[in-house]
Amino acid sequence: MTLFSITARNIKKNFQNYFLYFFSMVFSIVVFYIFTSIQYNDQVAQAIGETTRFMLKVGSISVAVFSAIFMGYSNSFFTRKRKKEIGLYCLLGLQKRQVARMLFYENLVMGIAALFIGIAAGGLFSKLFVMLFFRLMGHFVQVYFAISPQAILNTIMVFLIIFMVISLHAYSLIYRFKLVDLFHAEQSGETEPKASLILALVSFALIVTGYVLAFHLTANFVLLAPTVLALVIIGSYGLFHSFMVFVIRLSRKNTSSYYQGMNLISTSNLLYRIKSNATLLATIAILSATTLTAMGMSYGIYHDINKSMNLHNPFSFVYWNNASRDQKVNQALARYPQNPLLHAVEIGFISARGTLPGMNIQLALIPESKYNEIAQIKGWDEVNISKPEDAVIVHSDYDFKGKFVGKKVSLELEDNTKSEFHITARRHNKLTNNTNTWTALVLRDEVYEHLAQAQKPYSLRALVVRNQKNSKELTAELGKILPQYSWNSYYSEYMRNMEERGMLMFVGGFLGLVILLATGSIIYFRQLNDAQKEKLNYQILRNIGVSRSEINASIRKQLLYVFLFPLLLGIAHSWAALMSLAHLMLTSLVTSTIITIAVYTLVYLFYYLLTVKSYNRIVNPEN
Amino acid sequence: MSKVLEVRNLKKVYGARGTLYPALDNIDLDIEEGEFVGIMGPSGAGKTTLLNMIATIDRPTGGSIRIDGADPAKMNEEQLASFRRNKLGFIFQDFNLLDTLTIRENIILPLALAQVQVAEIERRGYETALMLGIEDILNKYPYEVSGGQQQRTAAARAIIHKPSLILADEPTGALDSKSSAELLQCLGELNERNGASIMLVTHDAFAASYCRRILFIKDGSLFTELIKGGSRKEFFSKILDVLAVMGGDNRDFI
Repeated sequence: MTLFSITARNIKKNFQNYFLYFFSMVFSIVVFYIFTSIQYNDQVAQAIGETTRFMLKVGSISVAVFSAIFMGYSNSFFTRKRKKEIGLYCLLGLQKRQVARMLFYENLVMGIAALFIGIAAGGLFSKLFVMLFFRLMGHFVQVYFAISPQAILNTIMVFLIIFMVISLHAYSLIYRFKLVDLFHAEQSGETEPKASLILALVSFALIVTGYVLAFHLTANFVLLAPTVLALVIIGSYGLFHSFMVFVIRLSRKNTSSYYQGMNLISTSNLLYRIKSNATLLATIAILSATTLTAMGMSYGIYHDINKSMNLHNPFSFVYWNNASRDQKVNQALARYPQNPLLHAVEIGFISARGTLPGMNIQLALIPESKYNEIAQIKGWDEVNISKPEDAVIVHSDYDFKGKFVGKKVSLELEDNTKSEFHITARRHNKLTNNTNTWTALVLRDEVYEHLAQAQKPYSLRALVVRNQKNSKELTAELGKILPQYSWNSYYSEYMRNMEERGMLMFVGGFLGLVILLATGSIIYFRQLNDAQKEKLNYQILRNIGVSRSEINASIRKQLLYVFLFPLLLGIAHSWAALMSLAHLMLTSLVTSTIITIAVYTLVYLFYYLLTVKSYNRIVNPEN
Repeated sequence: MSKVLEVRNLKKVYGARGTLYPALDNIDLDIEEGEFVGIMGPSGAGKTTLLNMIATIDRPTGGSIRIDGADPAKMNEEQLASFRRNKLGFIFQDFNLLDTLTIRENIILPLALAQVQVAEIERRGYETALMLGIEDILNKYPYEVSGGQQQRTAAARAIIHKPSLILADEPTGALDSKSSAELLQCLGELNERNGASIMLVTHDAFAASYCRRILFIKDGSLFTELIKGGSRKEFFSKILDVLAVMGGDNRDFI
């Protein structure tokens, strides 16, 4: 019998043990393959721009790094389970070198098998994800099933490297431990968890300080953002290492509930569980927070597209007009009945240098009647300027924030004539589309006419057509008529935004899902590992007369806390992060945050139920 | 005096189809209230099988067991669990203490499970610990105290809820001779002073000599019975004589 055949038999006979580890390898490979196959997909390559391509690359590197960590983690569980078996081989007289080689082969064989299965499964699913990718970017494309040799090659290369590292780790295992340690790997003595009150309070204070600072990020983002992160991360580890332990220890003092029924078992087990899993649980809380924030934000940005498009691009088309262009444009419009013209407005304005308190900008001066005409088309509030020296300022918070109502603005025309106005109101709009970024100042009609005699106004023509989101052909046609940079369209802005936001949504959602599944699996592995250790304790309890349903209830309760604490902390962190981001980005992320948290919690719930079931099967078997 | 245990025609057969192996055959056994009975026999004689069935962990193939007048065979799992909790106390060879609980918490576990009032729990916990001489280590954890103290903790746990019958399965198997003697002394006192009914399963003649009556099992059947007459020393040598007659793996008994 060769070493290799022992290895093969090992895997075949112990499939149950190997299954979890094998599954996590296959999962990592499927995820990575799907990601790279999108990256190398021909149809995708044609459709996306440079930024998107870069983001895909960043995404796939993140997936690779995460896979490596995830696989390393599951491998360490797997080997811990087998230390005794390895010790037995040594005891039976196999040389260390032989056992090490056996472990190395074993990992390699499983790795190669996982690669085959993973790439095959990834291939099956990749079409689905390419479709999802296009759908999110607003393209409706017939997606073909494609196998990308480049993606396969990439996957094999990346994972062979990961396998090599993991196999070497397994190889070195036997040289790092004494035989005696291998046998006692599973029964290290428990020590009583202690926690200091000061540390508990400090960690709590750190998190609260982090939250408070997060809402004052605008002040000094570059300096404050890392501070907030550091405070919250350190606080989270502290929270699990001392605060939680402290609270549970406190609840043990309350004997009137602690000494009742299974509470004695549940609470004391939970104390050990939280203590020995503190680092893991804190890490999971932080990972959850990161994931929720990334998912919530990318979903929020994606979700926000219509609102933001309408604000930034109020018109379907805007161009610098003259009589001949108008004629050609009108002819073109007539050829596309699917996009009938709803409104057309000619916007004449005077460009002037404006000095506001602490600011010096180019302003577009327009008459009151013109603004009200546009306002009627767009359904904005009209303006009413009563005195000649009064003016209304029009700009969105995205251009600049600033409270100029009640302040003076002084204007300087091209011929250096100066005049001063009193700002009486502000409108939160953009007068025309994004590419013509002008802050506008609305004046009384006769004041405007007077100024127009001194300086010739510019003229833009702004159009609103029906079905502007489906105006690809019309937009292309206008592109042929109008010179570059002399016009812009809602449609092309919309598509560019869809691509960027869709991409962000895809990468954010995909990575979030991967991290979610991986963290769920890690808690699952870890708890099952604990279950193996506690088998005897529950056997004792059953013998002295605790019923199976009582044990089941106690396990449900213990695991509930194990799952709930990191989830709640993660939700709290991400809520604070998203709300402060929303504050920074001038948008509301509440809806998207709630939806993201709901989905996340649902998947978590599934893992919880799965863990309870498997845990019970181990410690509480049917007779 | 009433009977706490009444075993009639007890049969247990292991295996299925063709290869049947009878582990116990027609065992009759009675334990009166306040008795201290030992069960002895060589390895494989069926001691553990008998104990498991009395402990309601395993079900007999034939015959009947009545504990305190109740028939565990007629109970479902929930009822069995609560029966074990209220009527039986267990002491195991390897202590079977929960290492996440302190000595105190281990002792009071049966009372907590029975939802007894906290003041009552604390009072009885201390009394029981006092009885077994472990009142100084109540706040320690099992891994912080000696094997003898751990087993006395287990004994405290087995008696705190005043069960009808205490089952001890090789309780001295993992103890040194000094701790063994101390534990057996405690069990003897429990029996004499508090009138606890104890069934001790062992293959150690020294441990058995603390009992007041010993039943010997061989190959699944009752072999003979010894009743303590004179001193413990005399009883000990009588036990050795019976074991010699029984044969089997003698080395165990020296």
